[in-house]
This record gives sequence, structure tokens and C-alpha cells, in this order.
Amino acid sequence: MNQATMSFCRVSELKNRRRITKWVDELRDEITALYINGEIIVTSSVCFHNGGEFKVDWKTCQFQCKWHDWRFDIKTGESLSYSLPGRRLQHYPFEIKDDQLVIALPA
Amino acid sequence: MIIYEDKSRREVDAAAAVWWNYWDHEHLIVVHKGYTDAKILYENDTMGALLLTYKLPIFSWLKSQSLNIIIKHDEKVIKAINVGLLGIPIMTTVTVTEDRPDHCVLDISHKFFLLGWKQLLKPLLTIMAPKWNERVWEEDLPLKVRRTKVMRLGFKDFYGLPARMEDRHREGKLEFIRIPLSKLRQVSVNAWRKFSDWE
Repeated sequence: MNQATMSFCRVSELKNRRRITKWVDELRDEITALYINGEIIVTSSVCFHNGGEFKVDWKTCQFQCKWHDWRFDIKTGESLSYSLPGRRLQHYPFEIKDDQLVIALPA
Repeated sequence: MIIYEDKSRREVDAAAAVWWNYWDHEHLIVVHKGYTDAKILYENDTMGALLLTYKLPIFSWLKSQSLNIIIKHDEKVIKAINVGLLGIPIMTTVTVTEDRPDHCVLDISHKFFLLGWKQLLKPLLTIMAPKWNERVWEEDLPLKVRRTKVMRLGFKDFYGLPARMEDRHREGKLEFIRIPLSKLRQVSVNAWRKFSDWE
């Protein structure tokens, strides 16, 4: 990565907790890192409907909105409750450096 | 008949635009414990009539229904009239004052109209009403605060945050959105579509 980056969390901590959610001012977004089925996913976690927050349904790999029960496929970011063509939760590219999960910032 | 009134004043770090919460009928069965169904019987740009199904206190395996009329009295005041448990009418008045940007004072009044033998319930209401109202406030509080936060980031309903990060900000007063709130045709609260056959 040549562009600006930020350290989001320790990978060991993420593997232990499975989910870490933070508002990231640099991205003006709420970011959730998940350790799910041996894979790390870094994604926006603001519901498209009204901006609600998510809980994770680990069995189905879905986000479930705490406000209105909208569901999203965590891996694809697609809404499963209602069709929103062209809209997916934004996934953020990342690297792992010395146990740190590092997210690229926009140029 | 006697009237028992429970009054409270709340402050919240949220814009007056979070009035939205009171018109958001879809959240009732997800956020608030006890409600199992909500149906909109009628709704326009100043009022709504809802049929709520809830579990009875103590006898939680039994369900009952309440009729709720919610009215936009003016730009600052919402009134709600509810007839539910034991047929006791309750009038709620919420006055929202944005005293500084993204901070509101809410004056909330619940009046219980107790007729005949139901006057005996006043001591119980004196204890229970503040507890019920506190619980509802606590359950709604994260929605109000987060809603303000995402609106400040330029959030749009059914779209999300702006795609370009540099567009993720909104200055100035956050305006309350139009009621009735936009809803997808297929959401479960939209009972009036089903009931419209009655007309």
C-alpha cells in the first residue's frame, strides 16, 4: 500500500472477539471488522434503511439491523430483506502488518 | 373520574429531527420489548392510527391489542392517544425543543384517565408508569443519537451514506423529514393496504 493507512485493531484481538466495531472519522463511516469462518472482512456497518446498527447472526453470516430487522449478507454486503439494486455495504481493503489490521485511507 | 399524570423532562444530544423516532412505526416490534405486531390502520401527513399487539404484563403468554392515534399537533408538539390495557385511555404529549444545535429538551406528559374502579390503580401507576417510561426512553435513546450522527454524515434513507467520502457531511439545521415516513410497500406494518378492501 502506497497510500495513507490507519491501524484499525490487533488481529489477535479480532480473532479472540470475532467482531470489532468503531466509528472511523478518517472514513466518516462506522467500520466493523469480523473474523468469520477463518476469514477477515472489513465492512461498513450502517444500515441503508435508516442508519441503524447491526448485530451479527454468526450461523447465517448475516448482519441483522437492531432497529427494523433488515438483514444483509456479510460477505457480499447485499440487502437480503428488500431489494436495493446496486446498493451493497462497502467493504474496505486492508492489510495485516505485525498483528495490526491496517485499512487504506482515501487519497 | 380522576386523571393521573406522569411528567418528565429529558435531554438528548440529538437534533429535533429525531422526532422521526415517534413516527417510525416499524421499530416498535423490534426495539421495544412486549410488542409483537404493529399495523398502520391509517396515516397521513399529520396523524397516524396504529393497532398494536402486545404481551400482557405478568401473563406474558396472553396477548392483547391497543389502539394508538398519534398526531402532529404543531412543529414542536406530538400528541398520542392510546387505549390499551384494561381500556384505560392515555394521552401522551411530547414537546421537543432544540435549545442548541443537535441537542434537545423533551417535555413528556402521560395522562391516565381512570374511571370507576380503575381509580384504585393510581398507586400502582404512580410506581409503574415512571418505570415503563424510563424503559421506553432507554430503548429509543441509541436510535435518536445515532440517527443524528448519520444524518450529519449525509445519510439518506434507503441509500445509506454518500458514496464519496468528501460528501459525507451535512452542515446547518437538520430538518425533520416528511410524514408519513417512506416505507417499502411490503413491510409488515402496512396493514392498511390489506384493510383497504374494507372500504
